[in-house]
Amino acid sequence: MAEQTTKRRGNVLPYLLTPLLLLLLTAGVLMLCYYLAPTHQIQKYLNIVFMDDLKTTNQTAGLNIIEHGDIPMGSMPEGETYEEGRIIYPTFGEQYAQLEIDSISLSVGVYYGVNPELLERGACHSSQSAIIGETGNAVIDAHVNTFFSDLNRVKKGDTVRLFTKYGAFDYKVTDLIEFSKDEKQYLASGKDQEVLTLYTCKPQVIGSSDMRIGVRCKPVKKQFYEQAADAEGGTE
Amino acid sequence: MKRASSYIVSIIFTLLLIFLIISATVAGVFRFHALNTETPLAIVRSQSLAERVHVSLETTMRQQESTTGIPASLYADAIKTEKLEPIIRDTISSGFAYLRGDAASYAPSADFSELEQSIRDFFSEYAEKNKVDKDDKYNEAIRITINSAEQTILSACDVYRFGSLNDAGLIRQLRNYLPWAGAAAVTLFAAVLLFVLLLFFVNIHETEMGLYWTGSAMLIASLLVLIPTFWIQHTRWFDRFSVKTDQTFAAVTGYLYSNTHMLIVAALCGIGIAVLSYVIFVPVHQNRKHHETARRAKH
Repeated sequence: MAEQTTKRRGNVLPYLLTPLLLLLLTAGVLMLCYYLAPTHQIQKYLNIVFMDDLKTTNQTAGLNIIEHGDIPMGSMPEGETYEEGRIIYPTFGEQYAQLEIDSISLSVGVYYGVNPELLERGACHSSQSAIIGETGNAVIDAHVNTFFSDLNRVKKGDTVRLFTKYGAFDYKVTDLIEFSKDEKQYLASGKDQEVLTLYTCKPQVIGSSDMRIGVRCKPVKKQFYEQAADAEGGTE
Repeated sequence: MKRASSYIVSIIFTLLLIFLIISATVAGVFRFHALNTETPLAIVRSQSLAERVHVSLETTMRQQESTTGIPASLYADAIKTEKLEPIIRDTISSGFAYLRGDAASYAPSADFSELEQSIRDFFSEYAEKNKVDKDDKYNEAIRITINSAEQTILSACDVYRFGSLNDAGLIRQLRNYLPWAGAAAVTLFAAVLLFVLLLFFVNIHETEMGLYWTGSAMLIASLLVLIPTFWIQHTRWFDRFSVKTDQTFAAVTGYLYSNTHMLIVAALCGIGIAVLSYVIFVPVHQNRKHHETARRAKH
C-alpha cells in the first residue's frame, strides 16, 4: 500500500514540477530581456511621468502643494559655491524657488507647474521649460492682477534673483518683450542657451488680452551649493 | 525516447505559447478596451470630471475677473456641470477617433452661442454706461474676450490634453502605429490558437496532455500578467502621475486603472481556463493510465 502511494507520488511530481520549471524559465527570459533591452530610456520617461522621487514617500492622489520654508532667501549664500552643480529637480506643485526683483520690490514663491490653484499662490514655472540653473529657457509666469502686476515697470539692466534649495542665481534683464499668446518663440524650451523668461498678460481696461508682456534675462552669477555628481567623479 | 522528445517539444511550444498569451492579452486589452472610446467616457461619470472642470474654471474665471473687468458670474451659466459634460465627452470622442485613425483631424466642437450673447450684452451695457464708441476696437475686444473664454473652457474640458499632444506632434506619430493594433491582436490570438493545436498534435497519442500543456501555459502567462497588475492596483502606483491638474489627473489615472483592472480580469479568466483544463485533464489521464496498466497486466 505504502509502495503504491510512493509510486503515485512519483508519477504526479513531474506534472507539478513542470509548470514551476516553466514559470522560472519564463521569468528568467523576461528578466534577461529587461536587462538586455534599452529600458533605461523608458525608465527615464517613466520617472518623469510618474515622479520617481515620490515613489518612496507617502504620496496622496491629486495635487499636492508643497510649501518650502527652507529656501534661503534675500541673502547670497555663505560658504563654498560652484558655477556648475547639482540640480534638485522639483515635483509638480512644489514651491522650489523664491523670485526677487528689488527694482519693483517683488518677492514671490515660484511653484513648479502651472494650474489655477498654483497661480493663486505665486508665480508658476512651466514644467515644459528648463529648470533654473539648467541650460535652456526657464519660463515663469504669474497673474498680472496679483504677483506680476508691476512686471511692466522692470527695466533693462535690472537684476532678477532666484533662490532655490540647490543654489542662488542672479540674472540681468536684457530684453523687454511683448508677444501674442499664440506666439511660442519666447516660451520654447531653447536648449542651446541659458535664458530666464518672466511674463504675464498685458493689462487692459476691459476684456481679455491676447497679448503678453515680459522680460528676458541672461544669467550673470550662478552659485550651486553642491557640485554635480559627475564633477566629483561619482555617479548619481 | 519518443516520450522524451515529445516532452521537450511540448516544453518549447509551451514556453512560446506563454509569451504569445501574454502578448495577445496585452494587445487585446489595448485594442478592445484601451482604444475603445467607451472606456474613457465611463471615467467621465465615475471620476466626476465635469464637476472637477467646473471647479477649475470657476477658479480661473474668478482670477481673471480683476484683470479683464468681466465678472466671473457672466460665465456661471456656461460652466455649469451639465453643460460641461457634453463638451468633455465630445472632446474625448473626437480625440480617440483621431488617435485610432477613424477621423481625419482632431476638432472638438461646442455650442457657445449663449456665452457669446452674454459677453456681447455685457460689453454693450458697459459701452453705454461709459460712453464708449462701438468701433473696430470695441468689436475686436469682444472677439478676443469671446475667443479667450471659449479657449479656456475647451482647454479645461480637454482632460486628456489631446490639444497639447497634437501640437507636440505626438498623436501624429501614434496614428502611424495604432491602426495596426487590431490586426496585431487578431494575429496574436490566431498564433495562440495555432500553438494550442500544435501542442495537441505533438501529444496526439495522449491528447489530454495537450490540455495539460495548454493549461500550464495559460496559468503561467496569467500569473505573469496578474502579479504586476495586482501590485500596480494595490499600491495605487499611477497616483504618482506628474500632472496634478485635478481633472487631468483624475482622467488619466482613472483610465490607467481601468486598463489595469481589465488586465486583472483577463488574467483571472486565464487562471479559470487553466484550472478547467487541469480538472478535465486529471480524470482523463488517470483513466488512461489505469487502462494502460490493466492492459499491460493482461499481456
